[in-house]
Amino acid sequence: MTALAALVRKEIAVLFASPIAYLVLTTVAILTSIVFFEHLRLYNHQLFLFASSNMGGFDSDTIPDYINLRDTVFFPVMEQLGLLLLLPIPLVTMRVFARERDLGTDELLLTSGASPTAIVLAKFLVTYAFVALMMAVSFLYPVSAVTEGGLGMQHLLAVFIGLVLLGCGIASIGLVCSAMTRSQVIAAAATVAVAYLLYDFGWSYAFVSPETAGLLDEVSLHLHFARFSEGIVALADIAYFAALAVVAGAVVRTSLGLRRVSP
Amino acid sequence: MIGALTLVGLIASGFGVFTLRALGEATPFATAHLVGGGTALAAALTVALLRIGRARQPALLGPTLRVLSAGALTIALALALYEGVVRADVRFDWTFEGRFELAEATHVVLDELPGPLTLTLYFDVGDPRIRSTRLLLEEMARGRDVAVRVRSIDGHPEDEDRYAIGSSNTVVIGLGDRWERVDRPTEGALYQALSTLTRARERVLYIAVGAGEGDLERSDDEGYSGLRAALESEGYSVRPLPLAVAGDVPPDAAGVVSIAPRRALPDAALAAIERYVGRGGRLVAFVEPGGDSGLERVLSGFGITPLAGQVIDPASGPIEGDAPGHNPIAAAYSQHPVTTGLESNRMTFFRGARSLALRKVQPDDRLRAVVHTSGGAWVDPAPDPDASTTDWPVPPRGVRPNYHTLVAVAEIERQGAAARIVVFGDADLAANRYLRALYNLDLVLNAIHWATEHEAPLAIRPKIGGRQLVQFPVPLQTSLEALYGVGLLVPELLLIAGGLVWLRRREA
Repeated sequence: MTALAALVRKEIAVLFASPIAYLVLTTVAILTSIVFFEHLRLYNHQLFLFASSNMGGFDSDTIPDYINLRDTVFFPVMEQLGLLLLLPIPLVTMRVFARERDLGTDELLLTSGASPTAIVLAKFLVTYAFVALMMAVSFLYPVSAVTEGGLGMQHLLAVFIGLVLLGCGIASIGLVCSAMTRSQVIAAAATVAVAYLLYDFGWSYAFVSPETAGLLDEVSLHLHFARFSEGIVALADIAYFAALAVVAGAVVRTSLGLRRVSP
Repeated sequence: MIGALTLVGLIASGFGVFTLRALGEATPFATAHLVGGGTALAAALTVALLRIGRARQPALLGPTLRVLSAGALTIALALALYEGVVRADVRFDWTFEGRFELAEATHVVLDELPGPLTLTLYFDVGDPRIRSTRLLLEEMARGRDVAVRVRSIDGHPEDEDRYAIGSSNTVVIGLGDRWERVDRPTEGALYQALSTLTRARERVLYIAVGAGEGDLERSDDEGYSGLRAALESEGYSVRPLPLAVAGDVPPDAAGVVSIAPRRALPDAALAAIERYVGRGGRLVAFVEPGGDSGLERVLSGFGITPLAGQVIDPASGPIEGDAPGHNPIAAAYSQHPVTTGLESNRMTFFRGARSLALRKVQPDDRLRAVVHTSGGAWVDPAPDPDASTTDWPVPPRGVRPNYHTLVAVAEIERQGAAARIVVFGDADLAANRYLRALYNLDLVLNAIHWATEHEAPLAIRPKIGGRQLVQFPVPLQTSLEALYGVGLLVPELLLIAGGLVWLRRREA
């Protein structure tokens, strides 16, 4: 436990000693604000279009139900934020294992007495915590602006949990990619490619049988995030992201273990 | 070699998938990239396996196998746990309005399906609404013989013609060879379609006519055609009843509705209502301020007396061009089946209302006020129709503000038969102009369902979709000020911290 705590402290120190972490947090927060504000502008524009004087005004029935602060602004912003995560998270995860391998410090770590499991656990925990922090930072402005939008705090919490889990899911993929190479660039590119590939299989309904498409959908990241976004907290979705984290951790742990026993 | 092959494979596959998603068809470009990427990935895997085989040393076999089997075991356990949780299918609805919690009525109609049901959702690619509709359909299908299908409209032109599908996010409910199309698939709309498909026997609801009552055929703002449509879609057969001519309520009546008669009812009509209730009938009566048709006297005989004058509730602002307080917005409900699904944040609107006084006629009578004004209301015997819309009303000298009853219910037993009565102190709330305002429709339908002992469909929320969501413009200037005032503070602090770290590292 002491070794794990020491490793976690070390990972936090390494992460926040690099300006990249701050830059990523800043970029995500600003991008979310811009995306949110743009949606808000479009929402107002649509409202005025439907409620124009020749259609009866705001107290009339001319505004379709789907044009409201929740469905026109908040959900699309959260959707785009989910997709946006495909870019900054690989920047964070790329260095976690690949850099150590490139510098040769992984040999020191593996022979330091700390178990590979503790090493993997510490790196995963700190990365996930960073993802949660990133989500909290990017969530602040949109939430403060739509708390009166008829969404409810529980629903907001569900969306936040979904975003954090989605971020952790992408981070899990990124950590596996980082552990498989000594090049940070390859790690980041591979993470973007794999995460993008796994992100959404909704398009597959047009090409394969509904059963196969359903199966593909079931393994996609987006489907499991989407239910949170709609306000449904399903244990199966939490288990999906947890399983993804465990599988990623096991793959990385196995990879480290093999390097440890290899000649 | 392995890294290069993997990189090429992932990038090529990524481009292939991107093209496939963007164009929606397997073009030669997309296919070539997918095939090429897949081949590169397979080659990388083959090279990796060959390398492992060449590097194999007997002494390392044991530890290697232990590491591999530990990894495989962990992955297997994780997947097994995931599978177990998926099978348990536990989920919670955290939406503000409980959008995916099915009402009892929906459960009842789904549990009593005469055969396998098919729910087919038709969509256009990119329509964000289909996600919540699909979740709602899946919720309906859970644990039942119900199949949920999702189909693109473009991919099924034959269905588009057959079911006359006009827009994305349309659901077709199929039961045997019968089907119903739902264009705006809220739970209420789906329930109505389901009950139409499965309806075994219609309940006959008689609407009193002949003394200037509200007209269920009129479709303008003053008419009640919306109420008629809502009643029919909830399984009632609505028929007019000229009480004075008929002389009595037909025996097949599930209930009688009287909507604010403007002229005096003939004695024969009043006697018919009294006889009907006396033998265990179900009466829903709407009375308007200033009305004196004789119905008030009949209601009073059963314990619910509509008071003369109009309720003034200063808790309600100037609405519809009237002075403040003249049109109460009710947010106080007693617990009763009639108020199922209504809470303090689900308000109902009354366009001028009478207060109802309750007094038991017989000891066993059960009378209940179910919808109230705020505690600061009073009854004005002669309200000024030209009162200022800016001055807030004050109670006349000597009048003590209090809670007043806007809707009351009664269960009474006469001659061994139990009757149910619901009285509304306003009729406008059920007129076309106001029926779908706030939660009026829920209150009115709940009352009729309760009175006619058709209690399963009480308060299917929301009977009207999305009305409780904000549909007013958000001032961009305010939002921009919030962005500049607060929204940018966090990124700024982060940027400063990042800059300081960078400077420290450079100096080091």
